[in-house]
Amino acid sequence: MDAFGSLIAGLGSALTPTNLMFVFLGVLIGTIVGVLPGLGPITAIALLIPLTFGLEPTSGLILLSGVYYGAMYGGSITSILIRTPGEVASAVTALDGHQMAKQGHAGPALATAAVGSFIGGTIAVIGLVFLSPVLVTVATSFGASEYTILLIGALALTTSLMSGSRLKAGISVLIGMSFGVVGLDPQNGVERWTGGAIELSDGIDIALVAMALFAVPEALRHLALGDRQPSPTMRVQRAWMNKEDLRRSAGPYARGSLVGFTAGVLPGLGPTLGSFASYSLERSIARGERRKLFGKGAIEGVAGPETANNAAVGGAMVPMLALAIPGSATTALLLFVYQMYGLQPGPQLFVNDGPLVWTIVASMLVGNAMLLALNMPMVRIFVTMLKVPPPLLYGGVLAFVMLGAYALTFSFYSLLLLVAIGLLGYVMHENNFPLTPAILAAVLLPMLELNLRRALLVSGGDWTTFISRPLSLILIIIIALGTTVPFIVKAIRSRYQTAAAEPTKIDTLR
Amino acid sequence: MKKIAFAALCLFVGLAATGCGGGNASATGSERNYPNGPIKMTVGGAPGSGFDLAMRTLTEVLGKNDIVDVPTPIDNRPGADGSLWASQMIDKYSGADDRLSVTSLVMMTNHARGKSEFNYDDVTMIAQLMTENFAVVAKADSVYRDLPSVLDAVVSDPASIPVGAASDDQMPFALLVEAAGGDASKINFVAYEGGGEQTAALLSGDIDVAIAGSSELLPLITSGELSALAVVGEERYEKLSDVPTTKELGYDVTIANWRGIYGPPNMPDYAVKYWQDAIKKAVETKDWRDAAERNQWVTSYRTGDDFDAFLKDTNQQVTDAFTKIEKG
Amino acid sequence: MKESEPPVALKNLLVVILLFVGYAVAFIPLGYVLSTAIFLGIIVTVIDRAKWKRNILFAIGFSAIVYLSFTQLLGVPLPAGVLGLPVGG
Repeated sequence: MDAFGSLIAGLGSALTPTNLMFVFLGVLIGTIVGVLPGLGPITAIALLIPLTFGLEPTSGLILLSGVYYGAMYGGSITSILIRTPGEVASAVTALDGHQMAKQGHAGPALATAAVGSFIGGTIAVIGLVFLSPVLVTVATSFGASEYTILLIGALALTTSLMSGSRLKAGISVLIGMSFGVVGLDPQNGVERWTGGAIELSDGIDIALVAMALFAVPEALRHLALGDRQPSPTMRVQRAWMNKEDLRRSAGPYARGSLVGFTAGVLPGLGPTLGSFASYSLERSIARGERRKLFGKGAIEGVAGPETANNAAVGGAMVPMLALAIPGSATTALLLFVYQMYGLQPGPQLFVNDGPLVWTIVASMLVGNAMLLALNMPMVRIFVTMLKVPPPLLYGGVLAFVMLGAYALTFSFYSLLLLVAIGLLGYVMHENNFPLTPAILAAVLLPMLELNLRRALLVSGGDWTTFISRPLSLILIIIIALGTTVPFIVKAIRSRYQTAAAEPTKIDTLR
Repeated sequence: MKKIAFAALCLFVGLAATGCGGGNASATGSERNYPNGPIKMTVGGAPGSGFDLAMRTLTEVLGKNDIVDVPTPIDNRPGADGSLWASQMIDKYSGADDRLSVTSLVMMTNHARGKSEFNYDDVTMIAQLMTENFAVVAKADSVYRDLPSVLDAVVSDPASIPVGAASDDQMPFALLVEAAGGDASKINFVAYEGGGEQTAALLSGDIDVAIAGSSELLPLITSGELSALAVVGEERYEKLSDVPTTKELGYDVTIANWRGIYGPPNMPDYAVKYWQDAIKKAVETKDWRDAAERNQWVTSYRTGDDFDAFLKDTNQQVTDAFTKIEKG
Repeated sequence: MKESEPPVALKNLLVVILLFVGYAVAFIPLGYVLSTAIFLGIIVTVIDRAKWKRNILFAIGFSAIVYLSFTQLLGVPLPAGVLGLPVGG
């Protein structure tokens, strides 16, 4: 009850007018930068840090945390409406969200994402408050071997993202991986695929790859089509979720919260992996007609990932606050902000600065509720984005993407990379190469390489480390069962059905 | 449609070509009235990086205490730990008096590793702001209780003891192993980015020992999860006053990280002098001391011959360390 | 995905791509406001020439508002270019 009491006290101070204003400002800025393609939470927080120099610690931290989870929701808006993810963790939402918009269901898709963000965010804060001590022990028992196994599992999941030609999806994965190779070797700093260009030695930012592969091809295509008015089907939009939508989303909300929170708590995974894993999970447990709907406007494919990426934000706060271990580049920046204010995250944080930290945690609860309240009426306004004449809309997208690329390094090199990868993305898109596997591969490969090499260095080159560490072995077994059991069940079921000589066609009829 | 687009392209290319001419060396004044225009503070790192924080704190202190009354806008040009911007400074702004930047030990390590062709003596080093000592850290319940036992283990069987270190933090450990009579090229270094990753690896048992800037792992050392075995240097670190230094333990390794302000090559003397004075005043203010306390900086203002000697000595240790690590 | 989408005329595509590349090249030397206004103005007019007044208004309004909000509110330095606009921050 100790945590509960502190949380209530924190809630008390989070609800003072000043703090409420900073919560509001945070989620508002977050939503806006999330919406703008090219500006993700990390860029936004980095850019806001100088401005928060003069603020009180509480206000500054409330503001920046709000930006972080606000951006996670904001990213889904453009993903759904114009297939242009505002930030990487929302890329997977574009798959089904945009299809829904095309069928006139942009309102329900946005509403599903808003409700999912609220649920994911709230459950994560509750988890953060009550489970922190346990989770910290779990998170710190994960070593490089365990991460390697988890990432291989995640890579296996990507197969579920591949629709259409396996060969093309495979090539797409290879292209994505090759973006991850560019830069300095993470262990001994050898230059790889940089062509001697010092500008490439920091690697290619994943945010840039996401913009180039999603936003640029989509915008180029629409501009080249030269439509002056939006297509009529896009202009009629249902405004809100109905009962059926809500019923279908309930499961994904619950599972997405869990998957996302877990991905957030484990340092080294993070929101992007959380949302991709949730999508794959929803798709693999869907049955029959619902499964076929994935990629063609399944609401589950919006509900799951959008819940997961917000839950991951809360999850990532656990190791950051309790151990000063940031799980992603964005939390690393937040950690830096805490230190800038003279607060030292770590086991002593709650002891030394209890009231302040509880206020920030409570502000996340308030902020999530505010985000929902803010966005429910806004859904209608966002949908009007579809009524903007396409040349203006997509011209604006290209302008924002260029600005976003510039803000990553402030150099011409980023602009050049954006154009080059964007054109590559266009060619891939036109030839039916799925682009999502490329993004996921670009995210996963560097993480996998890093952890695999660490695991082997740590074990002195002994490959049995993956089965000799108990935790790692357990993970292998879980993943093996998870991937094989569905096939076995399917095989048994089909044999049983043939034996009964009466093949039920429920799956195909429904 | 085609015509308009073609015309537009011509316009773009034409304008771009005329616009490209700018950006050469410039001066905002002479000896008498310097500075009389904005001084561009360029940070070779992203907003929120260590470089960025040092530069922003400095400019804020300079402005707030009326030490410098011209604008000092900050520009972020991240890339290759600051080497990217250093090369621009050298190529484009030689002789200019209106540009400053911030650098650190990384400039020397990048040069020693061949990642950058420029070193500290290719630019005008103006003043040192601060130093940070390295610390060797183990998990609290580790079998290694002190630095000698760690070094003995590395000397006798390097493969068995993985050492966590960011790639730029490897050399003090390499020098320690050499001082203990071992072979630095055999050390089983595992690279981690920053104190957070190292903490995670120490706690999960992936590595037994890590080396990092002494402030980076401070929170978990204070709380007792990790223990500091030694601080690299001559004098004890204020916040870890019960931890012995390498010098006390009999290893002659004193290399420390540092941060300092530099200008372009051939920066005029009046500008160098001006900024040395301004920075001296800045680090003596209460605002700076507060910021240093918050960020766990050890302020150490050095200029002129003193700074030169420090840079020369440190660079020598860096070069030695990398020769030893790479000789394998 | 693509099967349901109409085909793109190669000529139009090349024009759009050329403009996009030109925009990237001009972004820093010309500065944000000028390059963005020119890029948007042309690309929108190429598609819908009849509404040129709206297009000019959009191109100038967009680049000016974005420039001001980024440099002044967010403190993000954008290239000032040949117009010599003050860089915020």
